[in-house]
Amino acid sequence: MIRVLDLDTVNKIAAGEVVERPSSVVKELVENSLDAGADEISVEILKGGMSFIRVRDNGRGISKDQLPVALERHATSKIASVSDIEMISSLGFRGEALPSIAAVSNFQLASAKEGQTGYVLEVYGGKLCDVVPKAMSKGTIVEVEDLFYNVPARRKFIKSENTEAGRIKKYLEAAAISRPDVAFLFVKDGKKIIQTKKTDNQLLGISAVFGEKLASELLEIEGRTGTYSVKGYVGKPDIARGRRDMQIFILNGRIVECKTIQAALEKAFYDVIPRGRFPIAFLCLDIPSQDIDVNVHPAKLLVRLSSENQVFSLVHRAVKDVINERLLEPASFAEPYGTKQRQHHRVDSNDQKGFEWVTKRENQVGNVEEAVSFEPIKMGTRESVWDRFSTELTKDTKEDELFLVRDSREISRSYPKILGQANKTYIIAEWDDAIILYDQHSAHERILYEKYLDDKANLPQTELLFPLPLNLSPDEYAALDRIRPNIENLGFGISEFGPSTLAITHVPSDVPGSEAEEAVKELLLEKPGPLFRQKAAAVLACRGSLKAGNALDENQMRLLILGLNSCKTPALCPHGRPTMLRLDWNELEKRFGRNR
Amino acid sequence: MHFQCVKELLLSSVNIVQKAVQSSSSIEVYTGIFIEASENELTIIGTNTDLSIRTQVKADIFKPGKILIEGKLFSDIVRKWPADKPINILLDENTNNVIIDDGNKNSSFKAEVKSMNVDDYPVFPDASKELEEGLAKSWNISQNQLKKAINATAFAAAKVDHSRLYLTAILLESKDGQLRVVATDSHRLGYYKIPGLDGDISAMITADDLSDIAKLMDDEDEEKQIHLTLTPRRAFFDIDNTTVVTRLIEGNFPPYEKVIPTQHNTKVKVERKLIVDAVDRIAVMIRGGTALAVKLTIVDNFLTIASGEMEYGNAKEEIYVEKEGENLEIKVDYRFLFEGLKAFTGENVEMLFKGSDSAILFKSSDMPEYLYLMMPLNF
Repeated sequence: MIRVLDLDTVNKIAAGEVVERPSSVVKELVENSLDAGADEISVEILKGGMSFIRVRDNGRGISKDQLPVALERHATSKIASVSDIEMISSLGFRGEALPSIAAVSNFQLASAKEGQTGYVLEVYGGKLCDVVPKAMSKGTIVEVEDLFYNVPARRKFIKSENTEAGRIKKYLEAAAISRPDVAFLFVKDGKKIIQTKKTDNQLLGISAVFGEKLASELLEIEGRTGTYSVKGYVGKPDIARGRRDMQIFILNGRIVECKTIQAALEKAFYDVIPRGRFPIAFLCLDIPSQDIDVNVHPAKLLVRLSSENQVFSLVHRAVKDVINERLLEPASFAEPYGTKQRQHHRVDSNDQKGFEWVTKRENQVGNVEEAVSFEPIKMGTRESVWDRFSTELTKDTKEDELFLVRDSREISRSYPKILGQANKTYIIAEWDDAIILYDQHSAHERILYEKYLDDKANLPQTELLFPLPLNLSPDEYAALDRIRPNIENLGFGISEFGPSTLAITHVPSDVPGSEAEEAVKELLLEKPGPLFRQKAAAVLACRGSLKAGNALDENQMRLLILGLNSCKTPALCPHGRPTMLRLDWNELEKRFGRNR
Repeated sequence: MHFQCVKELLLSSVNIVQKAVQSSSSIEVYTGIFIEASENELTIIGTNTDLSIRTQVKADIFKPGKILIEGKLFSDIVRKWPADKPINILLDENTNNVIIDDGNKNSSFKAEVKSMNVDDYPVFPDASKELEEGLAKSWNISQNQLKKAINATAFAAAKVDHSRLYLTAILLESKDGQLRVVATDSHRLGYYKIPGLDGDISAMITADDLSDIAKLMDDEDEEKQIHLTLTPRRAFFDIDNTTVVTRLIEGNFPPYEKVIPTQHNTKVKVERKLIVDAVDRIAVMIRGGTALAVKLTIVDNFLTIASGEMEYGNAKEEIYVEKEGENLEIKVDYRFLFEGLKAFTGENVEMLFKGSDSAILFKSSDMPEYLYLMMPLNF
């Protein structure tokens, strides 16, 4: 039998869409507070929000006669007609939140307008009680108790209290970052978890939520194309995380999940962080309202963009520019690679920095003779350098003698003085106020990587003296059928020698024949698509680059360092590992106790 | 066992065998240096599955015997031994400890090191059985010549290749009354012929190992000979007091004879030093292991070597050559060009070109036994 559902059932069903779990209650209520113009919002919860949620704000408030109306479905003050949806600037508009929450909890709505008495309306056991006066200051207080008490099926899907509290915290973190101009307070089971102050500086907001240490590891980004703009902060590659939990995207003030933005961000970071790690980013986008559709899902988390490509390239370029521009500094000895990820939550203002890589522009020696004649590298043998070094250190060194050495070093500004190679793996060089160690493999990898990305049209290719066999598994054969043109475009030549015998006849220059088969097999694992070029460049760079264990002569070391200097992102290899480490004189002096 | 030896002698012998001694191995004896004292001579051996080295050195033997001592430890002790004191080594048969001191009763230094079990040490490989059965072949070759051959080819081998070991190898092949020494990494190839050696056998040995073996050879004294024995699985090098045995690489070496061009359309003859220096100068413009291409342009009697057009500039150098045939433009990897030219000795080098996308052949009347071959770059 078909029947029209009664109002109670309809409300519960609708509630399920908007109010999935405690965090969605908090989200709806906080958005209401923000739409009400509040600049102080506090959220208190008990037991993950299942037993109690209170959201209090200092917004405009609701007048006495409006209180019952607020609980009617599709009652909203935010739009008047459907045409307004096109121009939405408020967070909510559907008028679903309050009735939905009230339908599945014991609910109390108290509000006072400026200079007026407050009133409270209670919904208990599904029954609307009378509106009664309440002494309170301007604003609105919503209390939600025993959430889902009457929807046992929903209760079953709620995770542990901790999980739910974690979701609420994550939402409030994002909210606080999206609105640094609002002071947020989050209290969980009587404990203060988040507290931010009003500020007009987004970075201070981030710092209040995630700590100063993290904030100090962020790079500011900004970009604009036409009426679209993006600004915000991204984390340096070495604080990338194992999850995407620190990617917050704010579109026209609304916290959103957006694959397009995420993909653009991660593509920009693709070659500077290791696989399986995700960049930290807090990005605010402004896009004209008519170009986005937020009315995709009642929770409004998902948005539809009318011009995804434009948003993608806006975000990608803005982030990439900053990476190229700012990520020129090599990692310091004091912070071994990978330690930052674990440490960043610790607030530590004693962060040592201050090294400015001699920038690309300064470095781009107009003519190479000048650089060479300025500072000929008279390295001689490795031993002699170290001999000289040790005599410098052991002879009765006075402070001022050390300064003398430092002065003479001024000449070497244009590029580092190569001291030698260690363990056939690392190049040791002296540059300005530091000793720099280069990992020859990752340094070369970075150089080749950028070359393969750059020279799209004109990759030199070389024919082999004799074809080298290419032995493929059936899976690899199938893959080759799919992406053979992509692989051949990179400069590989593959020929059939008989029915199931393949051979490599040409390779891209810099990829030795001895690495060709492995390189092709690695490429066969990739899918054709927008990232293929980058992935292929990384594969070729890795295969073509010097290996640890290759003895290098002075000239080769010089070429490597010069090449690295002209890279866009010299400090990191395409897999995101560092290419160089620095040991400042300051640091050395500290370690040797010289500065006391 | 008890003997005394001069530090320098013992050190150089230990250094020779050290390459075959492993720093760590699941087979403990491979980490040891084996020393046998007999008559008035020490035999010192290092060995592992691929490489065995034996060398002999004079010493004062007081009591014959054998010890097997941890290689790293022993060589460090010998290296740090004062130059003016002999090294006195005695095996305490009760404790099986090797006692190392300077032979004086009141020696200021004394070390006691456990000897490993000498009976576990593998027998040093020997080719006599294969020689008797006619499976092996041996020759006497001038050390000077073999060393030259190895140095002129080893650089053309690939540095690392785990799945195609033949690209990291030097081929020794006796054929048509010559011993051919060949190496290639698939981009270039070095080919050296030593005449006057009969037989029909071939062997591949890693270029790294062979370069190390070449270091034992004398390139000054024309008279000195090396005794080379090739068996189906091993190569034996008897150089003065030292024998090195290497296991051969298995597989098929590329068909090197087929890739050597037989025709050319352009031939230039150039003063070797001139072109080596020119390439070296142009290489200044080449940065960072990328864009390694240099362009060679041959017009009439001039060869122009030019760097590519870089964002920071370019360079070129023109040198005089004797030319036969057509004008030509060709791009090459400067490293291959430079290393190849440097492998030649003598005044002049000839470069033979067929076209801008075909292999370039290098030869020299000053070094007729050697050929070098490299592929150009295509843009």
